[in-house]
Amino acid sequence: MGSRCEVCVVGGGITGAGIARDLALRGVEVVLLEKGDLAVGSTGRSHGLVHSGARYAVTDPETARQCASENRILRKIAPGFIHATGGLFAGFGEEDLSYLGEFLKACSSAGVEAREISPEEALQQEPQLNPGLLAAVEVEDAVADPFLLTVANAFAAHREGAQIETYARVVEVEGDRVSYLQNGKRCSIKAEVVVNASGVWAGEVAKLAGREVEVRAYRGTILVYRGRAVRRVVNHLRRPSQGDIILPHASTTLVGTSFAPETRLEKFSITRREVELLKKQGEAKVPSLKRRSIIRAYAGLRPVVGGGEKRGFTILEDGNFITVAGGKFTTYRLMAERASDAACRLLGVRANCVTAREEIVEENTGELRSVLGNVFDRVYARYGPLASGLLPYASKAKTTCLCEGVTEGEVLFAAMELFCRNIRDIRRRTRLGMGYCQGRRCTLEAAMTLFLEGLITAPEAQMQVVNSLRERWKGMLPVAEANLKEAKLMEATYACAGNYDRIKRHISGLVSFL
Amino acid sequence: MKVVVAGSGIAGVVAALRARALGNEVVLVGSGRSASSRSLGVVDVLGYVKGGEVGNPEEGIRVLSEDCEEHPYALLGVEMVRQALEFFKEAVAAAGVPFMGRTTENIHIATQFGTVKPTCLAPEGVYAGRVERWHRRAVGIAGEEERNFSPRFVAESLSWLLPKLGVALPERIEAGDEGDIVLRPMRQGGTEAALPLLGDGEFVVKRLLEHAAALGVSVVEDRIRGARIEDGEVRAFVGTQSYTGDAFVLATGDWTGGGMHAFREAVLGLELVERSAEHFKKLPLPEEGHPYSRLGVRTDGGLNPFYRGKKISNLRVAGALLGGYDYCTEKSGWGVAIATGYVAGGVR
Repeated sequence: MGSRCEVCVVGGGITGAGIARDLALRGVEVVLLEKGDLAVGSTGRSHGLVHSGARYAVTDPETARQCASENRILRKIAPGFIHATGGLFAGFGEEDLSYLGEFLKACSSAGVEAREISPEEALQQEPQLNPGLLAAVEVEDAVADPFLLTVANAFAAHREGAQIETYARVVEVEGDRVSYLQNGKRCSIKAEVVVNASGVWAGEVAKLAGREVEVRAYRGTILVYRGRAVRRVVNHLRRPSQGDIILPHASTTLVGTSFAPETRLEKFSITRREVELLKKQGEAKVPSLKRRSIIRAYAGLRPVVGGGEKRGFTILEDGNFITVAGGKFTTYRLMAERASDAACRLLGVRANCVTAREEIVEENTGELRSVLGNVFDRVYARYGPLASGLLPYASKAKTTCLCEGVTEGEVLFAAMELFCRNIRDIRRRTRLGMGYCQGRRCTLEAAMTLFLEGLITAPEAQMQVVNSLRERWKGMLPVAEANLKEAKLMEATYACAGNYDRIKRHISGLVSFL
Repeated sequence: MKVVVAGSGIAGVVAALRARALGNEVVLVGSGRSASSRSLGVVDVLGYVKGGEVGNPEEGIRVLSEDCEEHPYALLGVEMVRQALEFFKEAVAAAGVPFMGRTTENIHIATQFGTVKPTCLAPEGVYAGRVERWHRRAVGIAGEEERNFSPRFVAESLSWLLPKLGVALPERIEAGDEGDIVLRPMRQGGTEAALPLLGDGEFVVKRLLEHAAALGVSVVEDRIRGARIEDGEVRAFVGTQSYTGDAFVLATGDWTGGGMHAFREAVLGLELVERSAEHFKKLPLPEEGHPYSRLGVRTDGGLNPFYRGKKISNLRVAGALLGGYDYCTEKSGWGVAIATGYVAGGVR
């Protein structure tokens, strides 16, 4: 394959997808190469918190300012993808109280909206907060599904002509030629400019291009509790530390995050101590979490440049090779804008960035609303304006995932329209198998649906089942001691009844792609 | 004597039937929903031992008993297992769901997962549909699609998988009701040759519970949450009310049935078999099983458990609550449940 483009973006996280969209809207020919699925790296392993900026007001005012401004922009351009839950900073001890004055002052000078409210009022809003609450500050935190926001950006970029290639691992960058492996084949593309948006992998990708970039990785672990214990984002009112944040996400509550330097970019693992720390921190702030089951733990790597507690980003230019390094989920759009500006300067493209004012995906869900009736709200809460693409599949209303209420139509919609290659990809778009049973009841069902629709063969479906269960177990393992029932049910279903413990040796080695 | 059985799964109902057959007054207390609601309703006696597949379960039990002293089968011995399974066959026949098979021979059955698993005794239809009979014949997988079941998926998956397993090589397997052998889900009226679905176990257990009730077992819906112990003996099981008796059977299942909670036996806090340092393997569905799966109550050869260092002589434990074995990977679920239920109910 010998194709060409103006810009080749390496990395399909939120930043890469954001860059692809930004450039495509400026009329630039873009190809995005992602080594796995969209958002499968740090983006998808974040908690999806769209920061108000308050968390960084004291320690990193510049990032705080950027967060505050991007938070406002995202609410405007992605209303259907951003859940404006609001946030609270809650203080529980004398130490927290002594931080309050400094915190409010820093918020105000960084342009972060923050309003102190009485502990009584805070408890009224969040009845499950520890009643020992001493101080509370309201902020404009919001929550987004990081997978879906990334897919929305990729979708919008694609619609403007960008080419999105997943499971395409870059193996060499030589001059203007980018070579990558996809489906076991080596392909290459000529690009006038290469944008390295590979997050914590930026150093590795730069090396492929004979450059040097230093990005450090810090592991952050998050616990997933069953059910929603809070309505808004609850932050610990103190200098940023570990286990500060509790937030509602779909049918779950997330407690995060830990912070530890990590040298391995792929097979890093979650430690027992991290899990214990997060449990303790989370349950101290919201005691009712003690009674909820922990269904999963996951960890991602934060890309960090510069020193100390700074979470900002930089754009590095080296010939036709641009690297975006560092940054946060909340500031992805700004990072994309700056990286795209740099690429356009190199290309001599004059067009300005429009992503601060154009909606990512425009609303066109009227017909779907009338077809789905009262189910529409649930579907819209999940997919936002992307839901309009569900229309052709809306008649397949059978529920596949019982925990998260995902229909067969949604599975097919994701499989056909949202850059999916397997069940794990479909899960990231739809939340299939992300509920408390972790795919026990829907994995076979989903594989069967793909088979019956002719998208995969029966043996491929079997491989999808095994791979999907393997991916689920990875997140169940760190917290399995706290949830032996689900661990055992998984074994009882797939090993005892299905005999997959014995059958899987015949399945491994198959390749399956939608 | 008055025997109180806690747990209305397969182990509990077998214990109640045996105790009743020996002339005791029997009360069976269960919460109504057990792990059988997710089982295929076949009797796996022993499918795999020491990494290899078992052809003759009785022989497999002998091999296993050599170095797994804590295994319930090792505690009971082959002879007792055979007796128990004979008792079970008589009971299910009397309850109207006759089972076929011999304890000296494993068979292979097709599953709704499109896979094949070894088992031993099975309801008549399932037995008639065993894979061994498929050799050089045309096989049909019939029935209506339902959640987690599609005849077309089962047929295509099996026609790919069977040549790898070396059990039998049918002439062809297709979805539909044509062929020399046509399998249909038991629930959808497959009697001649049936395909078991998850949940069929509940049907079998329900029949046995009705049969037990007809024989005079008093079946009560309640959840046992504690027990009264005096002078080292159980005086009563306690749920929403107290159930007094002379002898007691605890068959409350593992974590899935509620008999185990975290690393503790839920009702009394009975002593468990020794815990291994690591509970889980890194990958799911390991052939050798996750070590935690062997966790459960420790008993002596008579299935009497230990409480605060002392044996309780009028309490016996049966089924998945027992430690020392892993039914998921051994494929020994109902086999152990029936054998230990039979012994636990052997109150004279």
